Amino acid sequence: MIGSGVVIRIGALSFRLRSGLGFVADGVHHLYHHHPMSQDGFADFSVEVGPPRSLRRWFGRQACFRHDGASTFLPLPRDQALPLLEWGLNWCVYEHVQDRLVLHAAVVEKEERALIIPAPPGSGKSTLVAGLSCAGWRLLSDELALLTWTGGQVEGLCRPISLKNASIGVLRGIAGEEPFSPTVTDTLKGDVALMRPPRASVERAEEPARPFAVVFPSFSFGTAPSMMELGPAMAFGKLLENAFNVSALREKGFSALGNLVDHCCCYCIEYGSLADGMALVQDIHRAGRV
Amino acid sequence: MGHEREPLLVAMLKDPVRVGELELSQWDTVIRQARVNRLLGTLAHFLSEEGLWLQIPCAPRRHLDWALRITQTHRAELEWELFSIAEALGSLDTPVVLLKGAAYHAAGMKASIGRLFGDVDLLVERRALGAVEAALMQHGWVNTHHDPYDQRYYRQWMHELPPMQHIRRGTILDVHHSIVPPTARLKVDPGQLISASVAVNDCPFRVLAPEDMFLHSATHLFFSEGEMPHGSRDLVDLYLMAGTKADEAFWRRVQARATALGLEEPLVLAVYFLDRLMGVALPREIRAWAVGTLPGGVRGWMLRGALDSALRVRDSHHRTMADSLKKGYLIVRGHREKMPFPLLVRHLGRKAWYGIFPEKYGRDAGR
Repeated sequence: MIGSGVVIRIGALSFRLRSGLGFVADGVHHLYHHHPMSQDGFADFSVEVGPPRSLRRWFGRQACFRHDGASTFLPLPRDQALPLLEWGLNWCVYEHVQDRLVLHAAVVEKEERALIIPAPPGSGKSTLVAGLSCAGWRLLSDELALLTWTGGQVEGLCRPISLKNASIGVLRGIAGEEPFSPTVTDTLKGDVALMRPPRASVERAEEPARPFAVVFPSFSFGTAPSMMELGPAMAFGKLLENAFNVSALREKGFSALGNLVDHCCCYCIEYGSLADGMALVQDIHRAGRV
Repeated sequence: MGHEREPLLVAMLKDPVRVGELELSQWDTVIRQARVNRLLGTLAHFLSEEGLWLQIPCAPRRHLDWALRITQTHRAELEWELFSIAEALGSLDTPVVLLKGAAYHAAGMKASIGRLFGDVDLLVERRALGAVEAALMQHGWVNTHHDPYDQRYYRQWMHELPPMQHIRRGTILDVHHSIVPPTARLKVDPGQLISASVAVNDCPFRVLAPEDMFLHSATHLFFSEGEMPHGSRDLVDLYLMAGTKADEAFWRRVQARATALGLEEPLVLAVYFLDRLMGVALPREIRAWAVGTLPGGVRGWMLRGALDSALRVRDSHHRTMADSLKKGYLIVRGHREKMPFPLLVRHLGRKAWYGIFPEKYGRDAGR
């Protein structure tokens, strides 16, 4: 990844990654092991993770994320370079993509029914989709869902899942140690580890899916599982909070979101354990079959 | 004047038909250059207007399509903004001249195509400033600089009011009474600009006469803050205003107007860099005049080197150490051009003092 970098294809987009930091290169090769990589060609985004360019590089051990050579975030401690890269790749997508409505949401699919799971950080979204991806669901995305204008198709960005704190141990128990990056401690979000997406999901990364339900999860340790159906207006409002480019897209973005809630059943779920959460999602999925 | 090897982006802007020759790895460079230099929307519009859209491979075409969508949003937002400003100022009996991006848009100029619009800039007569400011405040624009020193800085020394922000939309409006600060070395009589300005069809605003617009754009580029965050984009504006043919009558008018307004210095620099970096078609006499009038000596050499670095199309936002030094030089030069040295020292000293001891002067009181 030193020199001109590698171009990684992630769904319909490609990223040229460059880093002079050895552990970042190792991490990328481990986490993107199943993704198609090449040395050259067209890349949608050229990014880089490395030490700051200012004098600061000689004092703190820091890392910066740069897109087209410009630093987009404040530098972070160097051991957080890998999560920083992932946050940066998300930024590239939600800042630039304008032919899809970009939602802050995870997407999983089984039997041609996709679930869109929008949620603020800390609501257990990533843990839930990591669990589902280990139970035979196809992972389309952990962070960003790209919705077509009709609201009839959703595209993912099948990339590593970012797990935090206690979830890391839970998922290691299910998936084993192998797919994980080293855990980074003391980030803004606590401990963070990245989990490689399953090979089967990566191989189908360019395939869109048909949204079937929108699920707003809320995890709170020990809570009894419960489910509540939401009306389209309520779901629309909640989705709006998770839409990045709806104002830039104007009417188009607004109607894409409207079409989505018209076509989907929308639910809020509460649960106190991963198993309960997964069971609720299975129920929603099954209910659609009737 | 020496010519640089032309960056791919410049070649495509000048001769869009050549996109058919590009390989995918060259597209990677063109898209990156266009995005870094804020010219992606311009390129996208040029290619689509020339009917070349389908010759572009899918992956780069998607970026151009994103840029088209963003520029459409920007245009719609600018139009709404201009409508709101017209509503606020409509009842005042004073000419309101749009400057820069908003003017290019209102006048339907090529330089407005595919553009990203930021703040709106207006030029009004100095004696109308109070009425304009009051009318804007009644319609939701508020002053952004609450600090007494900043207020004084703008009102006493600058050529504009402190920037005004709309309280609900958050948009910024700069109300100017001249195109250079009264303290600047270059002296311009804004009355001449306003009286030569022309009305715009179907809109209550005026725009500068074409030659004045070119001269203002050059003055803004070469004689404002000096930072030049979008140097190459601004040079492309000048390129689009100059046209692709060596129009002798146009250049003669611009040159005569520059002499009348005292804006020969910015014109010389504009001609020199349009020739050097954009390869603009120029009549021989104007080219010879620019070369002959260009600042010479060590200072001229440093200025040309620094401007060369600031106006060049970049592949990346990254600046080498040499580029950073040149940028620093331009900032210092920009400030020296803006106010006489004793005033500059006083101003920077004040700023530094407030920066270190904000509480002493109650700067943050009430915040």
